[in-house]
This record gives sequence, structure tokens and C-alpha cells, in this order.
Amino acid sequence: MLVLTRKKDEKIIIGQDIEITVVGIDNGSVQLGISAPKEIEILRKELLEDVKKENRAAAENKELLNKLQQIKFNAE
Amino acid sequence: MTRDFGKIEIKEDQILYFKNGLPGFETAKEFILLPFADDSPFIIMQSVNNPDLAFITVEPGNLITDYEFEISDQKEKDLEIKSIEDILVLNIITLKDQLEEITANLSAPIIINLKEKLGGQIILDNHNFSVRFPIFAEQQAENPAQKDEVSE
Repeated sequence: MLVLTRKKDEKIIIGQDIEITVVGIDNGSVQLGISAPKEIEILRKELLEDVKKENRAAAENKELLNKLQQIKFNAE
Repeated sequence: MTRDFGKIEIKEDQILYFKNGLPGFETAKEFILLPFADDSPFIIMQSVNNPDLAFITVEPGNLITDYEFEISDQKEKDLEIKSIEDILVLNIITLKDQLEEITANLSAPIIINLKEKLGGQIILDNHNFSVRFPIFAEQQAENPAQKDEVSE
């Protein structure tokens, strides 16, 4: 892993067209500005990991499936 | 043309193609939708290639009102979305031992373009939409009489 030190308002370029700016530093939090082509998806990693974890948990549903038969939603 | 699928016979034109799979299941690229039961709001999203992989899903209108989000231009392009009417939105359900603990993933809806048979799971970075939204909490609050049905 490459580790760089940057000050506020300094930038990093990744490849041709991804630019990351340190917008602010405050009390242990770093605010980043990211310019990237719109086909590049930018996500907070913990959110992606949480979705993966939940998808895996949901995929283990099979043995509980028949419980669903009991469920009825309220009629509108 | 049909493909043998255990007990289920499926037609090729029922298969939905997920170019990127799902987060955590990146190699699962083909799914079909199966009704769960006649009077159930739940829909099974079954992997075509892996009989053991299936997700239980539900249309969000069954769970909450005011579920609105934007699909990025790039996702619209990926899923070849031309009209909002071609889209089916599903949220994956996670079952728990206790029925009242069942949750829906509102943060990562499945978007399906029924016309083009393309699907994908998008991740919404919106703090209002939980990855684990308890689907019975609101109904119980609105209709306490129903609580008995889901209690042990």
C-alpha cells in the first residue's frame, strides 16, 4: 500500500482522471473531495462490506423459508 | 428452449442477467423470479447456476411508503433503462429465528429491467435507508392487534 502525506487542499491524482482533494481535516476526520468519471462507483467501504454481509446472511434463509408462509400483510 | 432445474423447469426468456452478480456473490449472474406463494408478497430470486443460492425479496411498497431514490446515469446505462415502467424494485429479506426480527435491506435495492432482462443491486448511501430495516416494527405500531400473530 502506498502511503502519502497530504495537507489540506492538496490533491492526489490516480490514473488519468481520478482526482482526490483533501478538503478538510477536523478532529480525526478527513474530508475528501473526489472527482472521477461517472462510470466509477464510489462507496464508503464499510457500507459495501455491510451489504455483502447482509447478502450472505440473507442467502442462508432457506431453512427458514416455510415460516414465511404464515405471514400476511395488512390490506391497504 | 428450457433448462432442467431440479424440480423447476425454466424458460430461457425468464432468466435475468446480473452483469456484476451481487455484492458478496459476484459470480452469481443469472437469476429467475419465482412467486413464493399465491397470497404472499414475497418473491424468490433464485440463482440459475446454483440451486442452493436464493434470496427472498419483496417489493418495497409492501414495507414502507416514501421509498424514493435516484438511479445514477451510469446504472441506468448498465441496466439499459429507458422507461421507469420497465423497472421492478425488490428488497432482499433476511429471515431470523423470530419472525418479528425479519429485516429488509432498504439500503441496497435490486433493480430489474424487466424488458431487457437485466438486473443489479445498487447501494444507496442514504442514512434513512437501513441495511436491516425491521419489516414488522411499523405495522405493529400502526396495528397493535396484529402483534399476536407474529409473537411466539
